Amino acid sequence: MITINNLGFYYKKEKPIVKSISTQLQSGKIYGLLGLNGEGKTTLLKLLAGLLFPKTGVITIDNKFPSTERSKEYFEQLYMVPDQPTSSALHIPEFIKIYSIFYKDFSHQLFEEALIAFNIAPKSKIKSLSFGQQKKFHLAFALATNTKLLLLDEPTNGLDIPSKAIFRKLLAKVTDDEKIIIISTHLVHDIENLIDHVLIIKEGLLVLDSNINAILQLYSFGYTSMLTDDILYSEKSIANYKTIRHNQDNRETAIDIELLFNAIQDQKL
Amino acid sequence: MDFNTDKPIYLQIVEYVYERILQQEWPEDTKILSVRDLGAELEVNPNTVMRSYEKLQNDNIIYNKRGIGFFVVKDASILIKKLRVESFKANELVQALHTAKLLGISEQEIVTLYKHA
Amino acid sequence: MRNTLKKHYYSIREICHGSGYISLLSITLITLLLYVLSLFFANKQIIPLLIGTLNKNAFASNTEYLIFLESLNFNNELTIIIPILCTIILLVNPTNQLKSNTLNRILPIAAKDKVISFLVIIIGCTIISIFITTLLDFAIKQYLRSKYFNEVLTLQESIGELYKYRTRNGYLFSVDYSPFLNSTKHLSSILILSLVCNTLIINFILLFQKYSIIKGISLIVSVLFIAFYLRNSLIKMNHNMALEVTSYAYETVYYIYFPIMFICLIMSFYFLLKQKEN
Repeated sequence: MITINNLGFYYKKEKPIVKSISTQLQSGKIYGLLGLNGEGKTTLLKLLAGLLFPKTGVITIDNKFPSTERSKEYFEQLYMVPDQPTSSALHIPEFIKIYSIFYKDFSHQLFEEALIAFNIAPKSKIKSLSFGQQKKFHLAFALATNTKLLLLDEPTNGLDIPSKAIFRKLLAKVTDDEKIIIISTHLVHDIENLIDHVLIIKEGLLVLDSNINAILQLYSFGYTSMLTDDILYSEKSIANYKTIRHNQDNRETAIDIELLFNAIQDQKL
Repeated sequence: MDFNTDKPIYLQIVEYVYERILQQEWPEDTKILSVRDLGAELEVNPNTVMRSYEKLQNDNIIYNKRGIGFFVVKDASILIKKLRVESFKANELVQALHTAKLLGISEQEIVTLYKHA
Repeated sequence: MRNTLKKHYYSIREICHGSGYISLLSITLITLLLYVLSLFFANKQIIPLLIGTLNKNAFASNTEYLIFLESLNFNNELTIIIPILCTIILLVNPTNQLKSNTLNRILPIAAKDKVISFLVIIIGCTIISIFITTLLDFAIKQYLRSKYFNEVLTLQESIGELYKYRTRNGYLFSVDYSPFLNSTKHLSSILILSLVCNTLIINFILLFQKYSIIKGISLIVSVLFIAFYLRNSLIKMNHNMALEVTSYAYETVYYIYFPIMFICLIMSFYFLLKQKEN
C-alpha cells in the first residue's frame, strides 16, 4: 500500500506542478492516471519512483519506506517505464543477463512469452529496434520484473494496434492481489477495460480519486438523440449525444472514461 | 425516454460465459478459464472478471472448487436459457412494449407481428 | 560474504558492461591510443626508428649518426598520466548514465554499493592501464635495442670507443626505468592521483546542470584553499629570495592532502547519488 500525504512539488516556487495530493493506493488494483498535458502526471510518477523529491508531503510504501531515502529497499519494490525509455547498446540477452538480476522476482518465462507475443526477435540489438519495438521491449521487461509497484508512463504511446491488444492481455495476466499498477495516459481507450480506479489530476490537485464501481453507482453513461434537463454533461457523437446523468434507477451502465474526463475538465461533475 | 446505455462490462462478460456454455465450448462439470486467463483473453481487468464469476456463482451457473478453479454446473444450459428469458422479459421486451405503447401501436398489431415473427 | 561479493559483482558488471564500455579490450585500446599520442608529444624522435624510416644516409657522417643514436632519450615521464586519462575517458559514459538514464536511477543498488563499485573500477582500470603502459614501454625499448644496439656497438668500435655500454640493458635505459616499476612510492601516488582525479570528474559531471551550484562553488573554493596552504607549506622563500621546496613536500601532498580531498569527493559522490534528478 502506498500512502501519499499532502504531496507538493514545483521546479519554480511560483509555478507549482503538484499542489496538494493525498491518497492511498491499494494493492491488487490497476490505477488510471489521467490529466491534460503538463498537469503533473509524469511528475507524480517520478515522485512515486523516487526520482524527484517532494517539496512538501511524504510518499511512503507500506508506511515503512519513504521515497526520499532512495534506499535499495524502496527501489526493489518498484519499476518504472518512462514515456521515452533510454536506448541501450546491448543485445537483448546481454541486457537481461545484466539487469534482471537486480529484481529477485524476475520471471524469465514471462519475459520470453512477452517477447514472442510482441514479435521481437529475441537476440536483437536494442538500439537498432524501432521506437515502438524498443518500447515494447521495455514493457516486456517491466512486466517480467514482478515488482509490487509498476509505473507506466504512456505505455501504449508508439505501439501499433495489435501490440496494444497484446499489452492489454499481458497486463491482465501479470496483475495480482499484491501489485499496484499505475498507468498514466492520454489514450484512455487503449486501457479502459483494465482500469479499476481512476485518478484525474487537474492543476496539481486530484479532482477525481474514485474506483469505477463507485463512479457507476453515482452516474449513468448513455446515448440519446434528445438533450433533456437531467443530463449533467453531453458530447456530440455523430447522430447522437453521449451523456452522463445521475444514476436514478440504481442500474449500472458501462463507463466511458473519456467522457467522464471531459466532464471533469468542464467542471460539470 | 429514449436513451440507450451499454451494459456494464461485468454483465457483458456474464453474457460471454453464457454463450460459451450454450455453444458447448465450455461443457458441464469441466473447468473453465481462470479469472486471470479470461481477463487476458478479453483484455479486461481480472477484478471485473471476478465480479462476473461471483454473479455466475450466485446464479448457480458455475461453482468453485477450492484450489482448483471454476467449473460449469450440471444443466447450466437450461438455467441460462431460463435466465435469458427472464432478463429479456424484464428489460428489452418491457422497453419495446413501452415504446410501442407510446407510439400508439395497438395490441392487435403486436399479436399479429408476433404471429408473423 | 559470498552474497556481498556477488552483489558488488553485479553492480560492477552493470557499470562496465551495461552503462559503459569498460573491458580489458577497451582499456587496452585506449591505453594504446594514449601511448601512441604520448610518443607524438614527448618522444617524436623515436617514431622514425620504430617505423623504420630512419635514413642513415641523411647524416653527414657516421660519427654524427652515432651521436644521434647515442643521445636517444626515451622520456617516460608523460606516460604517468596515461592510466589516469584512460580511466577518466572510460568513466565518462557510466557517470552520464547516472544522470540521464531512468533505469539506472531506479536500480535497486544501495548508494554506498555504487560508490564502492565505482572505486573498484577506478582502481582496476588504473592498474590495468599501468600494466599495459609498462608493457608497451618494455616492448618498445626491447625492440629498439634489438634493432639498433649492435649497430651502435659497431659504430662505437669504429671510432675506438669500447665497452661504453656494459650491457645491452644500459642502452636506451634499462627496463627498470619505468615510472611505475621504479618504486612503489610512484605506484601508490599514481593510484591516489587517479582516485582523486576520477572522483573529481565524477562529481563535476553529476553536479553540472544541477542547481547545487553552491556545492560546486564550495568544492572549487576548498580546492583553492588547499592549494593555497599547499603552496605556503611546501614552498618557502629563503633569505636569498629563492624558492625552495621542503623535504616532506611529496609525502604531504600524496599522503595527506590528496587522501583528504579524495574522502571529501567520495562523500560528495555518495550524497549526489541520493539526490533527485534535475
